[in-house]
Amino acid sequence: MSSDTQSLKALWQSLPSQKVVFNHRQMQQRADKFQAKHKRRDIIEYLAWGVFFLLVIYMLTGQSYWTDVMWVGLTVIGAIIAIWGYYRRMGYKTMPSSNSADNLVDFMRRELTRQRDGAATYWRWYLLPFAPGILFLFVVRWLENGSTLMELTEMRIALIMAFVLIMAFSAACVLWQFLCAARYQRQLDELETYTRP
Amino acid sequence: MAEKTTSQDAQYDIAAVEFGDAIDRLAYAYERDPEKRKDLVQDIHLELWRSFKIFNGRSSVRTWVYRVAHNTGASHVLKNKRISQNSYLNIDDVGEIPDQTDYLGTFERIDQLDQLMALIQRLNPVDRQIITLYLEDLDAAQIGDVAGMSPGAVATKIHRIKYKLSELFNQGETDVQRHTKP
Repeated sequence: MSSDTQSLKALWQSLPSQKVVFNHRQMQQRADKFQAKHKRRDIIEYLAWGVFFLLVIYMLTGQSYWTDVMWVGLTVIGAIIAIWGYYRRMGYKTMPSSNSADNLVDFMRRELTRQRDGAATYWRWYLLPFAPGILFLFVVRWLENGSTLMELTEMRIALIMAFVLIMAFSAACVLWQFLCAARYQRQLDELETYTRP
Repeated sequence: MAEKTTSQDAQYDIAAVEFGDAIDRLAYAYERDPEKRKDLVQDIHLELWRSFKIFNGRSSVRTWVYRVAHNTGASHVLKNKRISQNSYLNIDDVGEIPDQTDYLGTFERIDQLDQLMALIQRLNPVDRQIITLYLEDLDAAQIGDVAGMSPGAVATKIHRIKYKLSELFNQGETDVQRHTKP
């Protein structure tokens, strides 16, 4: 077995080299280009947020009823909280390859923990922020479409169906995220077996 | 400041000469496409050059270079998401490797290299790091230093890798004998 693996080692070490040669000026140029690319990406992101807020302001000022302004406003705030939560908890993080204190196992452990916690609490930071806007909309529409509180008009039946659909969809999303959290936990356990002395 | 830059440049130059070939080989483990592999090698060199700005000599240059190179490779894989994370395997789970046609050399060499690459590229990042460092002839302690694992855990992994590689090697030989039989 030993001679076999030695042969494979020799085979591996005979792989052709691409002979990439850089001088320091080229390195600096590439580093500058890399930073410029990231700066450009940040600017595009800020611009997109700017356009989004302008649209929200336009929508809110264009509404004639305060109830519409209210539910759109609440939903937008919910969306901002959810997006922020996504960036913070589940967004892709580049491996800090220039920081040698951070080895691959540490990085993976940290990332898997972050992803697991994000998935397990998904309902709280992604779905819950939308609840005030949606509930407000349903309550307002319910009160608008019927002479008494319990009367079942066609519109109220449609509202109930829409509510049930939204709840079912949310429940499916939460269940899916719980399964993802369990998968991340399995990967973490597996990782722990590598590092156990 | 200028002194620091000079030191960074000098340290990079020495490391690039000493570990240039190893970096090239490592890139094979993380990228199949030759053009993208070239980009990856450049990225590794760039990260290495940048990393020497903060290198404090607490680890050996060799450990540092391999860590930076592997982290860049793993980052490349995660970024490109060429293989979904769910499809990564542990060394124990690797079964029959599908036939691939690529790489250089004679028939048997192509066959074995193909199988080796196919095996490596299907592994999860940690196993991939261990197998490539093992093939680079690092011992368990050195691999543990790079990967952040105990030498004992690395030794166990290496034992399984050796078994898998041995299987692979024998399979390759059998295939060659079958093809060359009159």
